[in-house]
Amino acid sequence: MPLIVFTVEKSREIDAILVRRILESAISLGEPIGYKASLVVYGERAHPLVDPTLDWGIIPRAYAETPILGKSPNLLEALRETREILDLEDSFEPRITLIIWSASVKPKHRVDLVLKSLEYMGVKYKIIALRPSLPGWIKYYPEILENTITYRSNMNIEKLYQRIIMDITH
Amino acid sequence: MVYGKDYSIALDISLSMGEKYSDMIPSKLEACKEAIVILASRVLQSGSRIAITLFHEKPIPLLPLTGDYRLVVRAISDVNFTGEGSALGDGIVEAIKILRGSRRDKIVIALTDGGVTEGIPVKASALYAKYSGVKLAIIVLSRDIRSEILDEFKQVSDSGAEILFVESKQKLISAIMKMV
Repeated sequence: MPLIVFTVEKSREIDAILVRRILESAISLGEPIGYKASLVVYGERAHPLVDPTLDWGIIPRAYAETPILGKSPNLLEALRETREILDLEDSFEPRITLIIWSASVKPKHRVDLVLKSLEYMGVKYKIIALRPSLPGWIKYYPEILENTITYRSNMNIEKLYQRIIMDITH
Repeated sequence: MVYGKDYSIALDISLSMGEKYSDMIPSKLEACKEAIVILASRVLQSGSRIAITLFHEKPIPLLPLTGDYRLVVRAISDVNFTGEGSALGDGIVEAIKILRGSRRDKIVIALTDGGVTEGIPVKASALYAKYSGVKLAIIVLSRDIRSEILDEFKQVSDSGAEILFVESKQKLISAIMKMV
């Protein structure tokens, strides 16, 4: 069955209420249709919180319940956990990942390599950076730069989510 | 039809587990090893399986799910206390991961002396257990738990996990057998 992994930051650097609204939009829209959903949370540490399930409703609830995982987001560890979950699923089925990130600190350079490896696995992904513009250092991360959409406060969250899912699934 | 349950044990091997406690002589770790062997002798006959993860500052998967009693005994007999730090949350997460794909009743039993010092918050690991349909019991071999750790354990029990404080080897064995 197709799978979407929500890889979502919960550190002191991110607006957790906004993240929850994005996850709730995903649930209320029910898109992409026919997918199982899974949740990985990360801050200084990363861990799976919901393994692949058809019960999407628990995703925002689980995110809200989980404690803040330190200050700086560790994107590399989050992607490793994500890849572990993606590996559990049949590689002939579509597998996608939506990463929600504060872009508050420079990630390790190997992040670009891990993102490349997701591509080689046939996984499609997009990153939503919850800030109006990307920091200057992003130019050193071509994979991130190419696949990141920034969020501005006047944006309609449901429309943004739909646009991203459309981009990934087509 | 699937018979039996799957038990995944997360065992603390931090240095403090090498100390004696109450009648747990020569050490808390040896008492835990004995209790795990007793659990294995009881549940493996009925078609259940056991897996073991060790942890100190990081988790170390030791034994995948098995129904082979002799293998459990051999694996556990090699275990010794090892390193600094105690990442209980990481140990529990790793123990839950071992149960992925299991269609049986899933149980994680964490054995620790409660000196949680680093890693994923224990509450986060308890939530992962909850959302994975895993019954979680944390057995604590200590009377002197720091107040912030006690607060964390309180939050963990709010997430549906069971926290059991034990003060003797017999109570440790009873606490483990309670999960059968």
